[in-house]
Amino acid sequence: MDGERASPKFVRISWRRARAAAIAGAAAFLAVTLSAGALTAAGYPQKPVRVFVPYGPGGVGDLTMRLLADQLSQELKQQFVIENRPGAGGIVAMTEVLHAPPDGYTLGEMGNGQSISVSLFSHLPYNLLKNFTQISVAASFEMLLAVPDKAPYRTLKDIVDAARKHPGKLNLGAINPGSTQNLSAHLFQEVTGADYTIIPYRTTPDLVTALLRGDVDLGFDFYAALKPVIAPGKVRIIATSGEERDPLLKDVPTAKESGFPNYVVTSWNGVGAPAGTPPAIVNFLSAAINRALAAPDIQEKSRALGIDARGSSPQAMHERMAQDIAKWRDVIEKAHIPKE
Amino acid sequence: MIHTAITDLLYGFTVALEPHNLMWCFVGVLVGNMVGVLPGMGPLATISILLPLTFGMKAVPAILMLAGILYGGQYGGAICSILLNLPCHPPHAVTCLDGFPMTKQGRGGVALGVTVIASFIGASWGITEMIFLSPLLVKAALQFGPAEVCSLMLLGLLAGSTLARGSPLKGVAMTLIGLFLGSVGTDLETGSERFTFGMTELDDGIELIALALGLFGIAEFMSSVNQVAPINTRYTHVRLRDMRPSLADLKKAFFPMWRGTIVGSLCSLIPGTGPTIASFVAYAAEKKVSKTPEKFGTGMLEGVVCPEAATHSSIQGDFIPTMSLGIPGDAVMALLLGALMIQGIVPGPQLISQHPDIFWGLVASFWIGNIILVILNVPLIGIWCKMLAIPYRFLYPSAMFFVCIGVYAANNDFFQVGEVAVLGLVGYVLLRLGFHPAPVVLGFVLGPRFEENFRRAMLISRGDFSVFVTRPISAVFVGMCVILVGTQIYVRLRAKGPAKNDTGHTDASPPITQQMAPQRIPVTPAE
Repeated sequence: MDGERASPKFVRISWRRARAAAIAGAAAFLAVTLSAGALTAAGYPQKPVRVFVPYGPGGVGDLTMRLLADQLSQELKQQFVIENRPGAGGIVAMTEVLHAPPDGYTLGEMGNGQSISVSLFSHLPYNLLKNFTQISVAASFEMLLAVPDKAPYRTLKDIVDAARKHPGKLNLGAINPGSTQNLSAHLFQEVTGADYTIIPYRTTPDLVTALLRGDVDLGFDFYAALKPVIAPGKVRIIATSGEERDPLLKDVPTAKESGFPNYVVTSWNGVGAPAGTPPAIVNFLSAAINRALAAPDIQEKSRALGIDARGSSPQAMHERMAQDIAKWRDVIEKAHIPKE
Repeated sequence: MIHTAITDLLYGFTVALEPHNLMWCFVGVLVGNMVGVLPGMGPLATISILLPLTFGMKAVPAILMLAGILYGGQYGGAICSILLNLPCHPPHAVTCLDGFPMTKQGRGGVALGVTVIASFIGASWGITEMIFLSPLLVKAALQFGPAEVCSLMLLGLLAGSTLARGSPLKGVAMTLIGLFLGSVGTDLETGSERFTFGMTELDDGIELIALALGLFGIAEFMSSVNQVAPINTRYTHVRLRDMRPSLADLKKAFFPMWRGTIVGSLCSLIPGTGPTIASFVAYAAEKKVSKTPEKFGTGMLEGVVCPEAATHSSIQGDFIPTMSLGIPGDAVMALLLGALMIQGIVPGPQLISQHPDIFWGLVASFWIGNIILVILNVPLIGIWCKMLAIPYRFLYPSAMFFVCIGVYAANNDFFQVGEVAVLGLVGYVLLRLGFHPAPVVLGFVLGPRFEENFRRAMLISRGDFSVFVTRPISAVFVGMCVILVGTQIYVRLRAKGPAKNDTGHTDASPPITQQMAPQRIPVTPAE
């Protein structure tokens, strides 16, 4: 099967490569003639652009990309088509992007989740920083630390004190191992230096049910996930994990303010492309994404989901990714999570 | 409480009567009814084939359509059982026992007519039960912690495997295979891989759709090829005039109808007891109650309406544990549960409050769908019979084609098409060896939930096993498990002992066992 498909694919790739080279050449010429940060890259995009998303439809990761793709389609007058390839820590989606021609017509969503899987999988078929070109961050969202409505804890300190007094008695709840939520719970254990029991749940509704029942003393999840139970006051948010207070929860202090300056978790998603994508196209897309994210419609919808939609330069995304890979490697090693 | 239920139901009708939703409900019952008439194609295969179509749909129309296929299929299944002695879906196997003899006596039309009425009454009762019991069940649902769910899953697994038809040993074996298949993938607790053999595609486990399509769809197709005899159409000419039951018939059918309905609704409240068990229990009970038990099997109207009413009331009632607890009653329900989860909706205690449109829309659509089915079935029996004439050589290749498209569409991944092919082959082998694949799906769906909740209960109790018996709800389920296993052992031991005692009882039973043993009964031109 492989042999049969290899030759036409090869032809297609080389043809695309040739064209990409031509585009790159033209773009380089334009980049010289026009000022830096020019918003045109030799007529790119001329055909629909595919965006591989490593999550199934409906989640936060998928929704942010759909919002962005929609806006980009309108602004650049070309369809940005979302293709969901969920599963296996994002490897499936990333591999699709890896093997695509680096011509700017195949993009992939990558962020915190992929930075984690670098340390979670023993043999990834790619190097996240070297085999991909980072384009722009798209969305950031922080973790909420929730306690059941009836729980006596009012501040993060209360809960940590209780855990220090009764080591191993308190339950932390988060979804599956390897998720940002789960590692946030591990990081919390590490930063606060107390002993908890971490209970994994398969889905967010499972975790929410556990919080409502009081099976879990402290739950970790994103705003969008907890929204339905925050509103009727069934769970109480005692801290957020960002650098600054969440604009939707202005009364809730950050973990930093609560006396845990090392507990900062901000999950994020961005857009990347296969390595070798012409810099002109990368810069063009980065600028376009930054502009699209500033659109009032996107800002409004994102805020309702507790997402901070904000772009970045390609370098900033690259650095953020490198930092997060190091950060989660540390957490995973200390938590003794086995490699897959 | 009754007032809120009625307000909610009226809201449900506004959802279900939205033209778009109404259309999909109609499509569902029509497709279900059509396919139900075809021998060898039950609602499970149909739902698994049509499942991928719903990915692009909104959740409400998707679930209305899939549910419509399920109960629509039951109406269709009865037609073939009565007219042709072909149980298209397992619950109708019992209907054949008295339905086909009635057809041979020229009273097939009457049987069909009364069956439609019985089905409607059974279904209506099931729906009523769903409306008034669901809020109570949901209030109780938060009482279900890891220990309770774990014990309930154990009960479901035991009930599902030991009560399934055929040899209990085979049922248990199939359940165990299901449990094994369910354990493939990344372990929730530690994040390590189990039975993936280094294939990253298996990290998230075997796809439920692939399993259902493979074990049922593909395996069914493979075993029917060249096996289904040309259908005997001698008895298929039924005119509207023949379908009109007399007042005496209706009188005779009235009480059996209600008895069947009640048996069915009780069965539906116990997880793991699907409509097949309900219809068998109803038939057996009716025979016990009857003044003329010896006439059963010779064309008794009671023997047709009672199991049919039980099947329908059980099918509707089965939605209660599925929707409000997230516990599927049988493989079809498991598939519907999967369909909801694919839509991003997790059935459970949160469902009614978070997605009232789905829950109440579905309930209201049941009534609408059942009325549509009565309207469809009464005058269109003649046309249903014509559908049987579709040659298998056209039907099967196209169905396989849809299966492939369907699984590929699930994740845009060819790996899953391979999964279906492999599982289909496994399913065919199992079917040929007389193993029913339903418990595999049961084990596959319930197993991971059992394991997950068991480990969670252990984590929360810090390894104290007594939580399963000190918590009252859990203790009840554990007790039921013990009783279930105990009675099985008792019955076995007793059957081996005084064998003579059973002879008076078994003279009427062999037809049941003989007809039930093969999955599809090849048409033997009757006498």
